[in-house]
Amino acid sequence: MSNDNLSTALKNIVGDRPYTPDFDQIEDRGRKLRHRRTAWRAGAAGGFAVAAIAAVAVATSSTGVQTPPRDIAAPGSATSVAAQPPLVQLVGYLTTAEKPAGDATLVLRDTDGIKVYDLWADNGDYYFAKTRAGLPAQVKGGKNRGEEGYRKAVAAARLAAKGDLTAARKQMIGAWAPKGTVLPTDAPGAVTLVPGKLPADKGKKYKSNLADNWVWNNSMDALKAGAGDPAVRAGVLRLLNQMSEVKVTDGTAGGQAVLHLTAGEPAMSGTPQTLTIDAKTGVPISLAEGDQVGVTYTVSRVSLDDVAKGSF
Amino acid sequence: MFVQGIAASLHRTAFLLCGDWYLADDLVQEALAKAYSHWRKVQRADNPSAYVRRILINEARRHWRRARPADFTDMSEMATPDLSDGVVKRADLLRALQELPLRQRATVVLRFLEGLSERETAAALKCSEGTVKSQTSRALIKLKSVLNQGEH
Repeated sequence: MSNDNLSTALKNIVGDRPYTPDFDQIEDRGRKLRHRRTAWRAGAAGGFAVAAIAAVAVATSSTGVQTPPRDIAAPGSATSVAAQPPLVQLVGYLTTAEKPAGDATLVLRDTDGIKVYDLWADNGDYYFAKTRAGLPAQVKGGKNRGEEGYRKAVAAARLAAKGDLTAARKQMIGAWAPKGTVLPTDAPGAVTLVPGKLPADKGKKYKSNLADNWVWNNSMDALKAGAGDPAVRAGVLRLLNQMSEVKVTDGTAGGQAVLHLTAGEPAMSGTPQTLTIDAKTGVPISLAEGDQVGVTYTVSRVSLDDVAKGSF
Repeated sequence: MFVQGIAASLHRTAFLLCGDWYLADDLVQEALAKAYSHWRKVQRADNPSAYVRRILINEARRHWRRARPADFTDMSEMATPDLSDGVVKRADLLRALQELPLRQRATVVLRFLEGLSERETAAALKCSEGTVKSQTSRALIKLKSVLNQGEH
């Protein structure tokens, strides 16, 4: 068998079959991918992944003693609202919960064993380090990587917590949109059938709701950047609760009660995404896309001064 | 222009990687969409074509994990010049190719269909030229072994 013969045989197999890519579809899909990536980007190791068991962290005080942060503590028996769906109960608790001590939220982000540290300041600043020990230098050096999109998403969630869901949804949709972008206006859960553009999908129709897609993605951003603030968590959950395609199921992870919020069509085209939160506090535990390897979060409250000093 | 220039080549490569023209369509579309979403990285890459080929191969790997076996029955009657001075059906060659591990398959396709050099293939597969050499050698041994099975 000569190399030339192999080359000729392979060329004969593929022949001169014409092929023209669908540029509209590529552009459209490429934009969505970029948007999704942007929405979840935070430092060097972003990405979706399989939900593994994640512990909800406890904050470490400057003296090194671990104490449960107030916002992460259980809400109590709440028997008077026992008949309400768990998400509604949770929102009710979070709406009245006090913001915990500290002025920043530390998130240990674990992507399939790769651990990195996100530090989200309440003022919108953001610091990133691959190790916990690397964070003080980032804060002391003023290496703020905060982006306007995160700030807007968090602000939209806070607005949603106060009750004006229509305005908050609009604000959430536009959190990352460049100025002048015509924002999608689909109602929550509304379905638009769009024709498939891939050659193999010709003739098929898919359920779509671009506005819900943006709300979901940007809400994930807000939830991550504002994980330490009960108002942000409440606002995000209120916005997601509007979307009928977000299904809520309860479960357990690592012995703790959790809620799984799964977004399928029309918010997501293709693979659904599942957000897992602590059932009692709403603190994000993990995010998974289909059967891909996932991201888990461990959340605690800290103060920027303590981080800068290395005593956190 | 860049996409137009590389699309047909990607399509051919995708077909030989997966053995199905429709899936090849999807793989190329998805690879180009990912390239679009990482356009700055593509532009900054030393070899943008290699970068996009790598995306395609990763896509093929992702799909391959859950793909059904390709159906070659529609090609069974088509013949192609033999690799050893006889006659080998296209379906046999395609089937033999599909039996290779993806990396070896990609090496064969890039080297012998697209005519890439060892260095270019190494860039596309993000491996060393030595690895390309060894993968090619192993692939050719296996291809020959599979194709010779029908001769006895």
